[in-house]
Amino acid sequence: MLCVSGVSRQFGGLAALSDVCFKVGRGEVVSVIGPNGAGKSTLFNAITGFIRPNAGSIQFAGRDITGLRPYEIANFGIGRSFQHSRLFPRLTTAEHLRVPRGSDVDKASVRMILKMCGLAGKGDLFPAQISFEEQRKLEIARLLAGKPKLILLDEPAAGLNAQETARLMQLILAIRDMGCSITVIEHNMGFVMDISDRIVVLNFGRKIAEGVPEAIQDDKSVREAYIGVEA
Amino acid sequence: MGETLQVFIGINVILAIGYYLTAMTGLLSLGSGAFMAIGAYSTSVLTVKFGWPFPPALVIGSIVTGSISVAIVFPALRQLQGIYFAVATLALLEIVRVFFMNFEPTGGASGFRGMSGTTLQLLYFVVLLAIALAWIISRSNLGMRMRAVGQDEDAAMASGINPARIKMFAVWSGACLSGAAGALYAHYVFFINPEMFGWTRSLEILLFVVLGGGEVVLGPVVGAIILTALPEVLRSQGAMRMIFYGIAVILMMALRPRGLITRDTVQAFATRGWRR
Repeated sequence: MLCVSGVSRQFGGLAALSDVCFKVGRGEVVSVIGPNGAGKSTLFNAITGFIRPNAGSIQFAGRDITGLRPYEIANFGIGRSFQHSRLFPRLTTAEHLRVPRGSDVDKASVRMILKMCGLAGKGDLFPAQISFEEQRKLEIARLLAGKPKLILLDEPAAGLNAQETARLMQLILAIRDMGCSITVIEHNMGFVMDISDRIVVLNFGRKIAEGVPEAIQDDKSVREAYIGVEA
Repeated sequence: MGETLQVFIGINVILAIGYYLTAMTGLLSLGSGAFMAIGAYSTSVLTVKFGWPFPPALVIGSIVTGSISVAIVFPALRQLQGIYFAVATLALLEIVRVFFMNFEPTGGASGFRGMSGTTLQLLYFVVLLAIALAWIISRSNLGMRMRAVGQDEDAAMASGINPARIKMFAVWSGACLSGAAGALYAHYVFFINPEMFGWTRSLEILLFVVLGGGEVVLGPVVGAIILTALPEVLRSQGAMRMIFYGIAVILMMALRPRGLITRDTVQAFATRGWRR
């Protein structure tokens, strides 16, 4: 479905991404983890067209999307959330769902998506009038309105408590069950281990490991990247 | 209410709605005066030099203004954000003014005369049409996308919206209305010259929306009505008139920074009814 191959990006002399490769299959949940500054958000920005890779290519559903504009990529079916929720302050919750192109969602599906995301009955409220958890879920609801085939979530659980995180996990799994592929950047390891089919680990812009959660937990290089080398 | 005041209120309502459509996408434009001038002159040429009846000339003048706005503004849209876009429109305003100052076929600096045909009937028709169109747009998916682009361009792009295209529509629709307003103005006052469409004009139009509120169609309508009528109401104050006008503007801004009529105002009235 998504195939990132050899993607590199320099900012000045800093290699934010070097030669990163990974794939996401249909209906798969792949997490991208790594210490701060490892290049995770840069990778998302490269996939979604917000920055242009210096090298490498990105294929999606058999199409080369490298270097396309963000809205073109979104219209091919890749939705993304931002690290800090980016909502429209003066649009109501229900109106957010009418923004994505190609959605043209009717009232019934707006209600359905809101309900699925735990926002039932909040359609007439502005982002400032709903809770932090609901704001997070509104961003996901807006993604769903665009009928994506793949969604990229940038730290969706940041700032949520345990219960809220559990609800978020249920929502993400429900979205996967609808046939949507999911890629998540997340620091909450419990969340990552529970939700992921596969995990990609970045450090200093390079992929240092990839595998199923159990394998990543035991991986020596991953431990080193996070905790440092054992004496 | 005198006919002249009604006409000026009507024209200003059309201008305010045009500005409202453009401002929905977050664009700060100071070019409304330029589009008004283009509409006024192009329609006047059709009626005076070619003897067209006013209504069809008005339609063509409005379309011409819209087309010119697309041709001029499009290159600027991709590159210019926020205050830089505003400065570019200010330059456009000056270019249009200097063009008409030196364009002899329309009289240059000494102006162009002989227009008539703006009736109250026609004016109210255009006003109602503008309000209806703006209302329909503001409630449509397109309207959501326009506001989304204005409120968070990156999030709108991530939702598949091409900001340049949406802004182009916003500028085009605003220019069409400004052009129509300019044409109605020219065919009411009989005589126009380039100085009538300067930056004070643009600033006044911006104030209609800033004061009335740029979130719902009612905002710019109310803003235009109040700011056009206010100087007349204050006429008895003589020289103090503009001071009171200024104080009123400052007070409104201090008390209602989002404008007089906001979405919350409408929401509150919708749920509680019009009594309170």
